[in-house]
Amino acid sequence: MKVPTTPRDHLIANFAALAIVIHVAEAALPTPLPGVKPGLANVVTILVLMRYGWNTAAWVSLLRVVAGSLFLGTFMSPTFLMSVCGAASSILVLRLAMTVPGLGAVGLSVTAALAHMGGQFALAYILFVPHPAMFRLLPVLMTAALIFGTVSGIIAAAVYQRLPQPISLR
Amino acid sequence: MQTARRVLLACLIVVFAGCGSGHRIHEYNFLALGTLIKVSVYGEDEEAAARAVKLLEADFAWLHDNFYPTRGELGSLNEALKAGTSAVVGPDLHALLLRGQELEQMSGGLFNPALGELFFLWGFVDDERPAGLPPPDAESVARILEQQPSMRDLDIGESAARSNARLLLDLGGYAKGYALEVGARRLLQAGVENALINAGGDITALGHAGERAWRIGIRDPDGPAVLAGIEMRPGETVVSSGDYERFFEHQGSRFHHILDPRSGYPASGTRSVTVIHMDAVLADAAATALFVAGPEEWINVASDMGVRYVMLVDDEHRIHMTRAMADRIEIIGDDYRLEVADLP
Amino acid sequence: MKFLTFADGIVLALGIGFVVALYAILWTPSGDATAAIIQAPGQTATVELGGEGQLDVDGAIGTSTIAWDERGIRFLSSPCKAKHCVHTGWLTRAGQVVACLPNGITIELRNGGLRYDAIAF
Repeated sequence: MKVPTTPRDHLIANFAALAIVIHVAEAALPTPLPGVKPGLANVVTILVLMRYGWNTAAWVSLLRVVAGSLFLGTFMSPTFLMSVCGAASSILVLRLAMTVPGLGAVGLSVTAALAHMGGQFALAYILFVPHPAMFRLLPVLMTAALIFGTVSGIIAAAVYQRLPQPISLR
Repeated sequence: MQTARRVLLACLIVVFAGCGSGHRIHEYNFLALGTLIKVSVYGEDEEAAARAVKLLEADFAWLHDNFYPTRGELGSLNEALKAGTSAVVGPDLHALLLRGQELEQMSGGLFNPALGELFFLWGFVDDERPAGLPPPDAESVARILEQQPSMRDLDIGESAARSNARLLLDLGGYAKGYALEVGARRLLQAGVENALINAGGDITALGHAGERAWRIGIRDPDGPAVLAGIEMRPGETVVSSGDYERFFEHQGSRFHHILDPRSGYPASGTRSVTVIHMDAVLADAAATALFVAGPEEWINVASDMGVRYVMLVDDEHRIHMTRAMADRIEIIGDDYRLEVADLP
Repeated sequence: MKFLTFADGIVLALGIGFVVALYAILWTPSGDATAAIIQAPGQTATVELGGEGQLDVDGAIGTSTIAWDERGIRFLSSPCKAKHCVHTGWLTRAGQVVACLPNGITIELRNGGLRYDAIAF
């Protein structure tokens, strides 16, 4: 049995695979605090967003989170929920951010990173640790998100310049 | 695209609309009834508010001068009773005495304004207790309790007389509630519909604070922190009685001002009681009675007195609440065990 | 930095401002209280916390002295007999209240937007 695929499916799959590889590799890095990761897989999301639009980027994001968690064995775990929440917040905010004229890779990436951290924090606070002390952590987490978002953005901008013509999806 | 922009704009408007409220609460404070009275008025007309509060201040000054056991109208009445005669009572005092009878009955005697002599013995009558006065000895206390002075022994007509040689009046258990009632009526008469009258921690809420309800914090018996928060419905009064309000220490022991009419000594087992009711006088009397009733019997007394919203903090770090109170109160202090009880 | 557009720069600036604000709001010292309101018969005074200071306040029976520093605020001395107000000690968190009833003076710690309109005690 063969499931018919379109060129677009292939595109998404390839980008998702790239994002997953980065995500899994990053998971091996030690974190000072849970949830503080460089988030370099976002580079892929931003690039896809800029080249192929929001729909494609959303699919890539979704696949990255789900498949990534399957690879890491964290599917349906609290980590997975945080990942989903973060990615969902991020991609939804990007939908709005996209409409801002003149916003480049760095701007999109910073916005996405802050939204991602915000979504994760909200979930963690509501579901896992509803303690006021969590708010002492928030500025630190957001600082990390800001820094890594900027770095991801610069990388994405650098890569974007060197990309050849986009493949037609029609 | 368009909708996204609109949503974003709407969010921003909502966020900024929330700011800028809270500028129109005018606060006034003055001393009366042995405490600081704070009135907060919500509204645009500052002059009308100031005028209304001036009238309220005069009312409170009158109550302060007349409803203490040793001065004014009540003082004269107590003097007359002591001499075995009667004295004419004005309409306010008359009404308050009748209510006192009713409340003593409803509380099964746990609230008893006829124990003025006992309060005097303990030194809790005036605003400040005479320095160095030791707690009374058991005999003096027994002598008073033997006669079981009660409001029933007070004959209240145009004038009042007593049939119990140990009866003297102390309205401290519900005087602030009465003052709040008088104050609320006065403000409403003067056209003020949204205000908070805080009579030394007993608080009546009129109307709202603009778009939101008046918010009250309940003090933690252990210290100056806030134990719980509550939103007041228009017309409600919240009264808190605690063992930390008036007390003295003698040879290492602490004696507070809420006496148990059955033993003649400060009631034990309770740290504080909070009652909310539309009737300020009832709330005040109930807070006293429930404090005396203690962590075992309080729920029955609450039922007898017809109060639905009650919270009692006992001396073993437990908070007891009626279900109705638990549903509306927000507990902030975090080292208490909560127990919810149903009114019988 | 040809990777940064003008709009990017604005977003970055906003982001930095946001993070700084988070520190300012969530990390304020002395447990989130920023000001104390002192009320005495006929007058009210507001004290911004975050320094050190002392204030003599005239009340009904005499003068109370109130002192504060980064820990919080408290009654240093008061003319009342029982001195419950002084024994209460330091107020350190927004919402806390201490009163010298005989002298008619209350101190209440607030944090900008008031959480409670009054405290029942």
